[in-house]
Amino acid sequence: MRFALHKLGKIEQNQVLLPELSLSVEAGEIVAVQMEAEYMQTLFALMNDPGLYVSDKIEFSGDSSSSLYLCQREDGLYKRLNARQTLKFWSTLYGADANVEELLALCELNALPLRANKRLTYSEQRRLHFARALIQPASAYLFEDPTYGLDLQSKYIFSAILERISADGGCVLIVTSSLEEAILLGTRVYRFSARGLVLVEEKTGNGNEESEIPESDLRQVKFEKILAKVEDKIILFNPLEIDYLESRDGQTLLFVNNETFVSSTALKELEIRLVPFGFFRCHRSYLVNLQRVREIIVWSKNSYSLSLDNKAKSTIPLSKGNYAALKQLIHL
Amino acid sequence: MSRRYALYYKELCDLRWNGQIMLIVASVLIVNAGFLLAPHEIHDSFFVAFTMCMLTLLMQGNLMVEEHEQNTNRVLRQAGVKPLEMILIKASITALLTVLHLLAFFLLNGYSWIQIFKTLILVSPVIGMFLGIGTLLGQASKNTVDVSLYAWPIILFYFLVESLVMNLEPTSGLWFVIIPNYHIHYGMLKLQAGELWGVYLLVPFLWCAVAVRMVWRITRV
Repeated sequence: MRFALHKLGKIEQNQVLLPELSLSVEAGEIVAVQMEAEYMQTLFALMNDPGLYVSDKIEFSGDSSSSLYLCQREDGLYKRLNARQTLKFWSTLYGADANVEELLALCELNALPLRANKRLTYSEQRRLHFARALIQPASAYLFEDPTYGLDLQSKYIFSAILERISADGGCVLIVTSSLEEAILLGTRVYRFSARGLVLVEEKTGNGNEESEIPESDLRQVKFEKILAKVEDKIILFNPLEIDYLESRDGQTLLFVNNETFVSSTALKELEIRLVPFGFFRCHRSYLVNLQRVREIIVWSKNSYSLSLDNKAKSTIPLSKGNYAALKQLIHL
Repeated sequence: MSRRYALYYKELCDLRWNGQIMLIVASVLIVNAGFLLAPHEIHDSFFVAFTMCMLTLLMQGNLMVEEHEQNTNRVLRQAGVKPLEMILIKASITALLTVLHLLAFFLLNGYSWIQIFKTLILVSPVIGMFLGIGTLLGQASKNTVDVSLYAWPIILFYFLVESLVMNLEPTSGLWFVIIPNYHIHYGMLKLQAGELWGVYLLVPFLWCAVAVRMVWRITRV
């Protein structure tokens, strides 16, 4: 069992709504992809288009969209039905013989099975939607920002549901705008941007595996990664992914594709490691990736800024002393 | 089969607590009870028009818009529910409630069973027409407020034509022949007089066919 997307993308007039996305998810695997909200919207709009299922852009063991479970943030519930009636309705609708009481217990809604959906909290309503994943017979499961705005209890329940789907051999693809959530939920984590799909992390089940290849045959290619800590995880960034770095309150902040990450390494030390990759110390507190610089703005004789070519169109300061060095560097 | 059962189950569970629909049903019941109890000279065709506008049209419009308002359309589509299937389920519930309502009124108004049967056949194309218009309203609206907003001009126009039909002689204007009110009013008069009434089915049936055709077209989009 395998679920795959082949060069799925969308361009409208001169605007790239979704860059080409190619990705495959094996049975029992949970793949999480971090992407911008606009890309997510386009991806789900495409997934809801029946025309996609007769094209070669999607591949999975099912011949129609009904074999794919889609959970979107905008999906609503019948506000006057209660949780039990909703689950019974879905169970009958999909012709599944689901155990409604067991699902209520799994979603921890068994204490309020008769409460109308409109009186449930947002998190409780989302839990009810997640329960649909266990009712609908599907081979692939696609979730849109599933943990957005959820309370901790619901996040745990969602993880339990994911484990159950994974154990049953389902292919799970989670699309989220938060890299932290992607890392927490996925067994394989990607970042997706206009520059393409980048593998961030891959969790293997047996981390203690010993290599059978003799050490003499192993050659470590020199590589440089910049580390950032998110909760109990460490993310490794390719230097060229970083837009700029800022030293603030004794911490070094990495600005990567509209998100900010904290690194424990000092800016001075990072400067030594990043200069070979085209980084430049433009200010006492800033280190910029010169490939991202679009404009050098001269405000006055002593005041300069760098305008970047990133999504946020960030502007960072350029000190007078470094302006001269930059001019020399770019042969101005 | 299980899918249709599920959709009926959902509609009936939802309907019990749907305050808007309950209010519509209750107000139609109260007004019609007033018709029965108070001495009046208004013909029964006005009661039929009132029920169609206030119950059939508004109820179908409100039921249709609910899916859009509650963002539940996508999940239904994903489960393989066709728009036409959903429309038919909702229309059958609205039609059943309309017919039960008319049945109770005609019985309390002293109609015989055979007269009730014939009158229901006569009004059935108009029920179909209002179900069609209600469906179109529901599809075009964003919420139940929109349904009421768009429905009221139609209701007022229908009442205006109905009052004109009841107060004018059948020969006073040929243009009346193209509107369904004329045929329901005079069809019911002929039926009560024991005369031929089948011809009065034709124009309402054409109106019904136009409304159904329009609904059919939007389900194909």
